[in-house]
Amino acid sequence: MAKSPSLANLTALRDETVLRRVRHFGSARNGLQEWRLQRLTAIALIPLGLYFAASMLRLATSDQVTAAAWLASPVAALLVIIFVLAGLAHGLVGLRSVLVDYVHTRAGLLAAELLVRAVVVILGGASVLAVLKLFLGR
Amino acid sequence: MERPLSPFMFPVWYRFQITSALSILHRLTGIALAVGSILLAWWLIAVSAGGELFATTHAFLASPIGVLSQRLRGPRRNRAADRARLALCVSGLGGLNGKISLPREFDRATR
Repeated sequence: MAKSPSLANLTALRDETVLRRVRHFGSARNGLQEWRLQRLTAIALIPLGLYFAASMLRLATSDQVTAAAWLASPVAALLVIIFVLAGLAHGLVGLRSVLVDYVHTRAGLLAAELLVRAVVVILGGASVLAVLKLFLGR
Repeated sequence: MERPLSPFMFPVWYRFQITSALSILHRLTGIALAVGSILLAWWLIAVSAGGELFATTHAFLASPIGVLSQRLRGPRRNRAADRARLALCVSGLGGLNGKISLPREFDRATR
C-alpha cells in the first residue's frame, strides 16, 4: 500500500501557499503565532500590570533598600520578570505592526525593525539581569 | 510592498468614527508605553545597582519631567479597558452589537 500523502500535498492550496511564501506576500500560515502572542500577552498584562502598579504605589516614597528587598523576594522577582518580558513581547509585536503601516521602503522597514528588536532584547536582558542580581545576591 | 495602506485614509475617505478614533488612541498610547519601558528597565537597574545611580534615578523620577513621563504610563488603564472591549467585540459576546459596531464601510463591503 502506497504511503498516504500528507494533508498539505492533498490540497490545491499548497502550491499557492508555497508561492506566497516565496514571494513574501500574504499569509504563509505563520502569521497567527504573532497574533496569538499579542492576545496572550495582553491578557497576561492585565493582572501583572495591576500588581506592578500597586507595588510601585507602595514603594513610591521608600528608599533603595526597601525596593531592593521587595525585588529580591521570590514572588516579586518572578512576577516582575514575567511582567517585563510579556510587556516587551507585546510592545514588540505592536511596534512592528505600526512600522509595517508607516515605513514604506523595504530598507527602512528592515532597519527600523532591527533597531526595535535590538532595543527590546537589550532592555529585556538588562531588566532580567537586574532582578536576578538582587534575587540571587540576597 | 504593494499592499493597500490604511493610514492617512482616515480624514479623507472615512468619516469620523468612535472606533477608528479609539484605534488611533490605542496605537499612540501603545507607543508611549513602549518608550516608557525604557524607564522601567532603568529603574530596575538602578534598584539593583543602588548608591549613586538610584539617587540620580529617584531625583529624575521625582522631577517634573520624570513625573510627566510616569504619567505617560497612565494609559495602561485605558488600554486594559480597550483590550476588554476589543475581546468582547471580536468574540461577539456581551451584546455590544447595538452600541459598538464595525464601521459602515465594512458593512457595505461585505453586503
